[in-house]
Amino acid sequence: MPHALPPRALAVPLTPRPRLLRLALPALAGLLPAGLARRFGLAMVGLVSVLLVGTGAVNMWVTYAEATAGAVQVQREKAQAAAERVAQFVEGIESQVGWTTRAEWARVSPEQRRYDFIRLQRQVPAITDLQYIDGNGREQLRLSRLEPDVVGSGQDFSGEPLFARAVAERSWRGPVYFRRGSEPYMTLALAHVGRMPGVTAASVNLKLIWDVVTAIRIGRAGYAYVTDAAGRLVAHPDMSLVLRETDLSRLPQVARAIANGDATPTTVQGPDGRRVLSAHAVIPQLGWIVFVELPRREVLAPVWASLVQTLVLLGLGVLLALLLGGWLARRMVGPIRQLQAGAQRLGEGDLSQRISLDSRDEIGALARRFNDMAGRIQEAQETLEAKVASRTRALAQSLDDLRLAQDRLVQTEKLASLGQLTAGIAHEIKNPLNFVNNFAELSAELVQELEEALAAAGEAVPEALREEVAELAGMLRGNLEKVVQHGKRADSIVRNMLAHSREGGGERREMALNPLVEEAMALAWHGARAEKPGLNVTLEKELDPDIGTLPLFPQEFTRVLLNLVGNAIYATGKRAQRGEAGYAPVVRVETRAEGDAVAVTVRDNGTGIPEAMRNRIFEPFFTTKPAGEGTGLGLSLSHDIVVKQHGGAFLVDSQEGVFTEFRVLLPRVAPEKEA
Amino acid sequence: MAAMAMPAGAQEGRQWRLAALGTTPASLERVRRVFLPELARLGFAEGRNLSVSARWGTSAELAAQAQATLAARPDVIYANGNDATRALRALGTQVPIVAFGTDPVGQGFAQSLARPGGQVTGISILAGELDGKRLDMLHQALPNRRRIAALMYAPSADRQASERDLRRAAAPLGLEVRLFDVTTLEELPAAFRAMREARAEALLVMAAPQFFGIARRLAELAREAGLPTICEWPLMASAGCLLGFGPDIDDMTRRAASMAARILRGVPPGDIPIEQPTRFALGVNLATAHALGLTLPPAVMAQADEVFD
Repeated sequence: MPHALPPRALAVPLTPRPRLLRLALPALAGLLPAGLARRFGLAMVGLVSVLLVGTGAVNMWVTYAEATAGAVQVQREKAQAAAERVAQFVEGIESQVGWTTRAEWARVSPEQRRYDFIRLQRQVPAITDLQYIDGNGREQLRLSRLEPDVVGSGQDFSGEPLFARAVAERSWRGPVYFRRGSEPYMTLALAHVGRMPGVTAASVNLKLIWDVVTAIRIGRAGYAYVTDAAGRLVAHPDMSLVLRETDLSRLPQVARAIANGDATPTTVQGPDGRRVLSAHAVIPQLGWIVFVELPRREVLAPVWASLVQTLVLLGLGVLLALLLGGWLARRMVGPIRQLQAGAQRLGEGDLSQRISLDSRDEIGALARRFNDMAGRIQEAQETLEAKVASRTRALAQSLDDLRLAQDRLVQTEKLASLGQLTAGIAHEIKNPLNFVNNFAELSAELVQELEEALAAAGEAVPEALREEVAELAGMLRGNLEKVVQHGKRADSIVRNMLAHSREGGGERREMALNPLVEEAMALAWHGARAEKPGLNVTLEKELDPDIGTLPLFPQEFTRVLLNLVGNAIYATGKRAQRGEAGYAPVVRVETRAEGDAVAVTVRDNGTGIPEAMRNRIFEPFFTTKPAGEGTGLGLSLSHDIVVKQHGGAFLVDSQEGVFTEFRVLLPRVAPEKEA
Repeated sequence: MAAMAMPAGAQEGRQWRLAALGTTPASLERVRRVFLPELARLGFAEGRNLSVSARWGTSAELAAQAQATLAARPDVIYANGNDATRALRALGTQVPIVAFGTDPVGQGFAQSLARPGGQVTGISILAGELDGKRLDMLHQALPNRRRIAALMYAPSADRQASERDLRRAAAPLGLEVRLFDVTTLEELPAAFRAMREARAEALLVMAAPQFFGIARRLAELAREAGLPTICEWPLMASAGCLLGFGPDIDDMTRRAASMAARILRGVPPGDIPIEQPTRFALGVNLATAHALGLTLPPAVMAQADEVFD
């Protein structure tokens, strides 16, 4: 079975652990139950964290990009707007001053000029000084807020740029300068209309741009400031910086603006050292540069807010995932543990184990499958046990049968070889025995003839001799009779012995067993009565009427029955001789149908067969009877007849001094080879 | 004083001490009316995180008042008038001073207007230049009056500088300027008598904080003497001076308050540039003109920012 990937290997790509998580996870792991639940919970936490961190990062990046891009755009527009407002401030002054440059102004009275100047000063608070320089470059009028007015000083300004440049270019804007080393000023000079034009020059106090600059709102903490073309501060919300004549040309954003006018807002250090997003715009008429700066922190405020939001979400998400993961894990692990416990008990052999899970999910299905499986195993085991038991029984039976058959076979083979031997011996003995018998009979006849001859000789033979011969002849005849008698007995033995070799003799016929049994019993009883007139034995019989017919060799089987019944009567007689009190000799014969076979049982309550002899009773010439009473061939022949001829079985059971039972089993159907 | 270097926000609950030292009660009135409200707007409110002690004194009393001011161990001192600043500096204190006065560089309070570099910053009201300008204005209003009396506050250390500036302005105008010094305000009637005896045709009240507080009295005396008078502040025209020309004093006071706030926040006074007036105003009292039987020329009326009937 191929191994599945270890779960940890699966969990790893799901959990690329950031440092925070790496620190947090062991702590979180403590909250979770060990094993699958922890792994599951951690995977959940990891997944949620990755998702949240991912979306948070994207969100933050988008917010950052939007905030920066938006701020850049806004800053650029603010810078443009601020530049326009500063330009408007200067242009407003110029247009007011322009009111004194009309063509006829050269011809109006000095009082009127002065009056106009006074009105101009009142109109424009930023103008500290006003000068009128005539077409020749001579100062005709000077008004100041701080000093006494001067009329017709005649001072020569024709070489000064405020006259020469203004006349040449219609207007002139002087550089920024600082009065008393502190106040920023600029001179505006406008040429009059007409031939030989004069010039009106105004000294403008640039501190009043402060109103303009501070009015420019840049975000919450943003600010605007203005430098001249050289980077000197002209206007700033912090007036001190202006009054100190601050040179900002070394600030990177100012240097960049002076150098190439690239107007893309950038993040730099502001004049106060904070990180700011700086944008600028150039006022073309003045060459001044307006800077608009917003603290980086303010630009990034939405990003920080987003970060905080993301972190809070992350924290909540992780917590939720932890709780949910733990809960789910517990919910999942509970049934799994139940399954595990069930499987363990099943493994330990408790087949009646069932898991009570009624969930509808996969685990429930698994539990049901498990229960099915356990049920089937139990069923299979029970069937198997039954089968094994039955097979074992059958096997034991077979083994017994086999052993029995083997014994029988051995016995049979032994008996067969003995039978053949005895048959051979009998055959060899038969002829000499015939001679003995024949010549003994012949000799007896000769003795008869001798006695007749003697009788015929009568008186010719002395009486004494005659009587002596007659006595001898009588003794001879007696001897011969004994020879004949025993010769016949020997002949009987030999014939019996020959019967062993006469297998298949006669014909097998389908015939009723019970009458055969009854006939044999009667014959045996009469035979025994003939030998022993005082015989006292009860013959019982119980014959199964349903047996019907069997394929039998009637002659041979009758011999078997005679032998068995005869033996039984003999055994009871033997026991009766012992004179046991109340002994009632009984021989009982039974027939019974037993399936495919028919059993014939001959039972007596005689002396029984000693255990030691039980194995030998089927051997030829083995007998327990005294010499002359049995040939020792009866059971041997019967065994041959039953086993070999009829294909049946011969069983013996006995208890010494109690009973002996012979049981013959005959098949209902003749074996094929016999048919 | 190490705590001073720390930003104000870091010292929640801290109590700051402001001291004000002036030369007239009127200057302290302006502290109450303009300076403290502006300071409160900037985060330093009296009673909440600021305690204020205000003192004034005549020239004779100033040294003692300066001592008392320092005894209160203030974090910053608002000194109204060069004399007040000078009295404080004479005691060798290093407490930051926001000085409302004139020509601090010439006085040696500061190294330059842009970078004072010491313990003193504040407002320079350009009193010297403006005295000349006021003489010019008086001349514009009364072109035919050539004998001009100038009322001087003798005890002021600025006295000599004022005279120098005035004479420099008078020369190109071709005016005859006579100076009348008073040491105490009790000498004023005598001074006006002297002006009349000298047949003065108009009066220039020189810039001095001591005169600001007594504008009504001065105007009364001037009317009695039949003298058209120009004073230092437009506000003094409302009190009876024919003309008043000068900077916007409330605006300047607010600027001074913002400087005090920056000092309380830890900015060294030497780094705060001294500021000069930007806006100027002319006040005209037509009632006084009428009483004196005068008609002011249109050019002067055109310059008037405030007209009092």
